[in-house]
Amino acid sequence: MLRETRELLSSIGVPDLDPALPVRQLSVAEQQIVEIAKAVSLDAKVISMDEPTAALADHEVSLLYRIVEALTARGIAILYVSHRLREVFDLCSTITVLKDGRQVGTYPAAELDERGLVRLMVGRELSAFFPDRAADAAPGEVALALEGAGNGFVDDISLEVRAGEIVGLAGLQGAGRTELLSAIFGADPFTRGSMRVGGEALRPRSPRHGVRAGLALITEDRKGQGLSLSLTVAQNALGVVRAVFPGRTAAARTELPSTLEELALVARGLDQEVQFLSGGNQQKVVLARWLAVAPRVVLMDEPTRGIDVGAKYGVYEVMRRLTSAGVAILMASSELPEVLGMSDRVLVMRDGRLVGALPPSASEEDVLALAAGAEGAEAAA
Amino acid sequence: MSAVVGARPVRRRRLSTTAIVFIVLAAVLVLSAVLVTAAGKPFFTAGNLAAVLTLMSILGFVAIGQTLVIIAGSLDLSVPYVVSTASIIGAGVMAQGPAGIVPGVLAALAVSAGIGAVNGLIVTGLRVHGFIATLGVGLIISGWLGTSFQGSFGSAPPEFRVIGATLIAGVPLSTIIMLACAALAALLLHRTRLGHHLYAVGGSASVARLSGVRTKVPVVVAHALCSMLAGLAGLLLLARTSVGSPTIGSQGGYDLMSIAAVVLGGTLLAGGVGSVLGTIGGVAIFAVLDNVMSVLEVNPFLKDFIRGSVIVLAVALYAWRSVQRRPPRFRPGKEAAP
Amino acid sequence: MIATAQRSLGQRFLSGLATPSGAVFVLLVVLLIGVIAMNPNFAEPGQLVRFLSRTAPIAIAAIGQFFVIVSGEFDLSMGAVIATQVVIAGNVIGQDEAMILRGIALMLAVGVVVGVVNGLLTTVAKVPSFIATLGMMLALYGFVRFLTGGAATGNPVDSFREIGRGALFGVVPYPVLILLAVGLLAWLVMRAPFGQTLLAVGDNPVTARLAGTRLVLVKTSAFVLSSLAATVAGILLVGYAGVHPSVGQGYEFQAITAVVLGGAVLGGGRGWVLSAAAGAISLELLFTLLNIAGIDATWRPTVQGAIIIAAVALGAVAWRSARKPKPSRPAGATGPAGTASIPTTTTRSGER
Repeated sequence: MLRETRELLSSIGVPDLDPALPVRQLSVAEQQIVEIAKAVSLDAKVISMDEPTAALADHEVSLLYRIVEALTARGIAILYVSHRLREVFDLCSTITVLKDGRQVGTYPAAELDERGLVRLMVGRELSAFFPDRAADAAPGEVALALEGAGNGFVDDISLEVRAGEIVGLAGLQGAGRTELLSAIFGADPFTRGSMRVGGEALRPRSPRHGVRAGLALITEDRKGQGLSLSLTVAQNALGVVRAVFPGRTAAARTELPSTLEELALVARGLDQEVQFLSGGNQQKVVLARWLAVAPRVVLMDEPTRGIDVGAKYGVYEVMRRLTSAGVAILMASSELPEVLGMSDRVLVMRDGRLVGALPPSASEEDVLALAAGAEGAEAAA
Repeated sequence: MSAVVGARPVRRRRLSTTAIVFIVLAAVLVLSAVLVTAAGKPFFTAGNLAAVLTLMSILGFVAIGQTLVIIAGSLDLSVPYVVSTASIIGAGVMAQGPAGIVPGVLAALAVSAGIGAVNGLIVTGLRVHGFIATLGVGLIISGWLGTSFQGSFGSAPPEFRVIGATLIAGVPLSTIIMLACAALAALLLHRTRLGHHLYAVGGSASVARLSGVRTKVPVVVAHALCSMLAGLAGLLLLARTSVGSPTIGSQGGYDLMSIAAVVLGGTLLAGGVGSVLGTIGGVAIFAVLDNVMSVLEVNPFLKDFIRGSVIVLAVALYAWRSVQRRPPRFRPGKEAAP
Repeated sequence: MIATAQRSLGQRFLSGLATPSGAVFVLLVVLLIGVIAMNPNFAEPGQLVRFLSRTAPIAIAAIGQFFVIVSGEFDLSMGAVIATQVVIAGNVIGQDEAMILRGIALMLAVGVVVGVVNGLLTTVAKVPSFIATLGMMLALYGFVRFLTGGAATGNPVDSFREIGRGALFGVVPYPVLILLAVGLLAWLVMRAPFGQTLLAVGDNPVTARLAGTRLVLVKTSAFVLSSLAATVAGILLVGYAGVHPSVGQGYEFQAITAVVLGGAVLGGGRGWVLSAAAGAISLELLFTLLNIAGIDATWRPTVQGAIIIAAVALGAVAWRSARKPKPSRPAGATGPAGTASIPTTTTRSGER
């Protein structure tokens, strides 16, 4: 069985993946390869890939590209579903656009450009991908500060995020961004170093401790960690208040309709179960959960993963509104344009450590070079 | 590519849960021997070992079947009533004499398998939680048993009763049959496609479905086999008691005790992980405990207290060591790993 | 945008009846009409109240079990708790009126301890609640039978048994009043932040923890509420059943049946607490109906088994369709042979 598996893996261009390893020990990219190998082993004529790169970092994406090309060369048809426009143009020969469960149109890729595709997806012209920064924005006091902090997964982290500032956190998959955010939040507490929130020395021991200190964590896994899927919009939006500040429930309930209105949530009502909402609207409910406790520091992990272009813009607007109200945001993202387009500063992680800081004017190549640890990159930072 | 599939830290090999089960069993055996010897009674005698093995056989059958069902992600609470039903049907058919033995066995097993198939179809077809489906089916049967039979029913001819009394090389025949069933079940789990599918469905039904596994078939088969094994248990009880009894299954408490034995054997109640070998270990732990408490003449009512505590402690032990932790990249006070 | 026109109370009532937790009330009314049609005497207030009084213990137990089930767990120790409390009442209170208050206090304390142990075993020791409460059940039954020798022992003083069989002003039985009080309390608890957090824990404990929920506290409280409900049921049962270690046997499965009949989903996150009580009452009405129809009481389990399977099978369909938006999304149908699908989430990212 092992030999057959090795042959199978070689046939899709990954001969050096050990077939005897338990899947749990593989990286996400490798797990994805196993999925593809499984499909190939079934002699599939058509393979549909739903957001295959959602959990991959950029350099892992190129590996997927090679596999997809090898598969198409063998005469296998690929149905490729993605929110990432660049991949669609890189890989696909025909593009079909769906909106609200209906087919908007099918076009040869050569006849479309990114702008045209976005127009088809959103139904209107989008002037810019990222909302402008407020003109008079000047960062305020330090809202979150780490000094030599670390635990089992990240080490020697020192950083500052000021009120009204968005700090981007870039890095390859596995660089430790998610781990850093959950350590700050208290889900995997720091075991050394110091941390201050709003000037007060405090190292959260649990998520509850973090929430009480004014922290919020928007996780990358919306369905698995961010929402209670079979509960309603209202139950979810009030979930954090009820769990941590039960005394404030009544006030939060009164404010809820206007909050959801501002977020432009599309739902049948407050009593609709969130599992029936689109990804973008689910993310708005997640935002509403945390807005209800008025956090000082919002930690965001892949805040726009798997949501459509229009909803992405909505999330960006909320981020801008929060910062102009003096909230500090630390945002981890694998989408470099997003990191560079939204952040005031970009911190880059590699192997569980911060390896440099870049201004938003940096190029994607600069960030990648630093994240991948290319020669001379650190000097450039 | 090599950047992705790079060197990974070598993980320490950990003892499998089955190994722990047998370590616990060994500890229980040693402790029992010490206690019994201290009380001035022999423990490792042929007679006493045969008694332990006999204790194992009935619960063993039920627990083997329960293992299959639990690995598949379901549960079977109807087993006690299947045990009773098999004993009643077997005794009813065999009442005509030795000629009824084969038809009696076949009829009892066929009816049992049919009940299991119904359980499986309710779980898969009507999408009813295994707990509720088998609780419901068990209640339905118990109503029928309670209405139609008062007291014992039918009888088993002496030729059939021999099975309950035969020893081969000091080992009761019923235990040998039970161990043979265990071996077959282990073969099924580890050497057949159906077995692999059982683990896959129990681990994650949706992943199994997306991988092209027909998720319903393994669950139905597991339930049918489980009931058949419960039926066998009923027949062996019949061989011992020589008359069919409508309450023999529920008196034995085989539903909860078999689930406890399976979990004691290291099988995950949530499904997808487990082994028949571990279950046999779990059953043996119960049997040794029971035997020791009888030899030491512990108040029978304290037995339940001790059993309950052992189950909870053992499962807490497994849960404690199986908490999945990612290996840390950094250790305090040390230079970081790569 | 959110549908601004909030639906009228009537509309919400009707759509609520379409969920399994609402449908059980329809079932209850239908059964009640059925019973009255076959035995008009049953409609007399006295008869109805006596019936309700008889069902109070199981309805209260169901309410307690509801808290545990909705948080995603099981409490199999319920029947054993009832037996324990009954034996405590017999032994501690005995014929001494002065001991009644102290006896009740002791029973409540035992209830709290059992719940705390169940909860900590489940949450801290990570023993599946099925096993933890099964162990508790064995331990308690063993203990009770050890104390009593397995036979009926002395009944407590009559003034204590009045709680289970007496009536306020000789008209409204105390069990009915206690059931109403427990129901009201349970309803308030489920509306309060604690109850809503309990639902969230049952739906997705990871999400709940990241929202700052103290899982250990919340789940343990559910187990405490369950064994306290069993304690109250035990106090009532002493009243008309007397002291015997088999009192309460099977109550855990009866209560789970009632909760599930009331539309709660095993695994947690869904259900309405008063529907659990309605489920218990419906079950008793059904037994009454069988009784009036002259069907042997031995058939009761069969009917109970059939109805629980039917209720859950129908409920599974109803929960799926009840709140689903109308434009049905394309079902995740498996493609034709020769296609394979790669889902987005290759890992359950539940590592922490």
